[in-house]
Amino acid sequence: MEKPKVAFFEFTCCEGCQLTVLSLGDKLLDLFESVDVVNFREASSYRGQDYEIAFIEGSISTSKDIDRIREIRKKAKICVALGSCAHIAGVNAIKNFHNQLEVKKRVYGEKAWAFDSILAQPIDAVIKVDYVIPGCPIDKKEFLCVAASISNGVRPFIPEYSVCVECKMKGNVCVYHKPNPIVCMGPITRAGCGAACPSVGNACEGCRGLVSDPNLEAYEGVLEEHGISADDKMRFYRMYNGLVGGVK
Amino acid sequence: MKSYLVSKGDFLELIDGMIENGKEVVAPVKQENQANFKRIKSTKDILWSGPQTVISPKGFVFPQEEELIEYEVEDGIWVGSKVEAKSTVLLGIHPCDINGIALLDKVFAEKNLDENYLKKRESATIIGVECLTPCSPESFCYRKGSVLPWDGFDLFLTDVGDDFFVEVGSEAGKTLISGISRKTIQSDAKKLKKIREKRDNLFAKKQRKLKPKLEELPKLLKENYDSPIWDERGAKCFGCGSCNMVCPTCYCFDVRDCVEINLKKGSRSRFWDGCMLTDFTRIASGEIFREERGARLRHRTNRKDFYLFEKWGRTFCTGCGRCGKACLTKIVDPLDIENELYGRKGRR
Repeated sequence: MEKPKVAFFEFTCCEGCQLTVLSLGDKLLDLFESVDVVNFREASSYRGQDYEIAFIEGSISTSKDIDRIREIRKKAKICVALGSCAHIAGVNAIKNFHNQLEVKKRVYGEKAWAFDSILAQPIDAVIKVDYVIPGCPIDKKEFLCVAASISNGVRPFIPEYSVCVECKMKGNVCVYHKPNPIVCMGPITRAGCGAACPSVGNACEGCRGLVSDPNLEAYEGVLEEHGISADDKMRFYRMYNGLVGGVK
Repeated sequence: MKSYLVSKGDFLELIDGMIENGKEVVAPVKQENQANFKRIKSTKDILWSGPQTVISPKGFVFPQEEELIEYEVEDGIWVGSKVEAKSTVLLGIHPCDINGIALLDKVFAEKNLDENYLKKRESATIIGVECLTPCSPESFCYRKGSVLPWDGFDLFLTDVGDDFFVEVGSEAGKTLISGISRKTIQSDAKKLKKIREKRDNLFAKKQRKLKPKLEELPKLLKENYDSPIWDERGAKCFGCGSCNMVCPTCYCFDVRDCVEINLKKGSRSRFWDGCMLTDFTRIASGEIFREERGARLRHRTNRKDFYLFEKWGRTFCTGCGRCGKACLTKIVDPLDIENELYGRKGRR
């Protein structure tokens, strides 16, 4: 069997998801054994233009991005969104909820007009995405499982259930039940991270996007019960999920 | 049932000796403002009474994630089943959780014997301990007839002062304490009876009441299949599955394959699943059979106190109260639901 050719691409992001792939250790060598990586900026200066599977990191945030990602889609048989920036536009979309001229000025200063910057979008706003590996950053184990499934021609498994499932499996004390409770997005956020943040006492901020049928009304009731104002609620959602359907 | 008396000091020394010899002993230990079951290094770590552990100890016989099969594809295909267990002592297990395991014993040994469960179960020694005060405001074990174990323990300890009153549930349990136990006499049994009367009174006073009769729960739930309660409560449900995960009697699992990235090896594992989760009833073509959260809540409640109650002649809710505590919107507690159904019925 010929090895599938794989390419990694980055748009607006920190490239932390590609660094996560790079830090796979021994498994990285296994990955290179089973696929032919032709494009991976964080690892190699070689730029192959012939690929079947494209892992795409980052959000669309310039008009040039739109042309570039369409080109990638034309060449790739399978496009995989890598991480929350590509999946749900993630933290990049925070700017969408501010005045665009002011945002540009704040970032680029007086010459802001010279820069091409549009509202941040997840990649599926522009191209058809076949699979998603959520998270900020992605989870190593999940990346390996998904990459192996795709190489094997099998639909990869991504949990549809909430972070609470994995949090409870670990026997964690719920962050809502601690002596100093904090609000957590676990009940409405897609699992797969092993409840990474609540396991160390932090709140889930929803980096993996919401579950397929989040009960936002019930969730807002919980936020209200914990004294979260309407403004704070939106800030909380917009950390990662400002563009997710149903959030308003 | 045979009973013995064992001095607390001797008993703890016995367990510490086992730990020193490398035996895996698991017990409730404090974790922030709650507790969790963990492997202990000394009996000093044991939390003998409240606060309750976040989840039940069922994971030690039915793990959260368990590999069932491994395979290799290289010059042919090799497939091997994986049935593993290590000898473990589960110590300080409360009656609600012993009864949970006793119920799992029934379901995992029905028709198709579940080798993975049974091997782990046979390798586990269960030493229970009686609760003399309720462990949480959410618990209602007394109302579920679950303040004492029904079955499924090797030893069951009751604190009677300087000694443990020990009820023996298996030969292995008896052998374990043979060097330090003495037979009980009538006055010991009397003392135990007094302690239990006091315990009953305390639990009856402190725990929330179950308005319908326990044995009438299947009938109540059957009559209320179409009650509006399900959708009313379902509207506040996240479908987050916390109630399923913390439950000592939920035993559903999903089976998934994972191929290693070298594409030469892989494994098939099972994972805890839950009937409150959206994708629990999703089938290959994409349909979901129980899409409404209210319908899922009804199903869960019926599994505890109707379907399985009728099938096995015992409630499948041991009243530990963990689901009621875990539920952020306070909709899932079976006792609450049953009381509400009963109350509305009365008003009709």
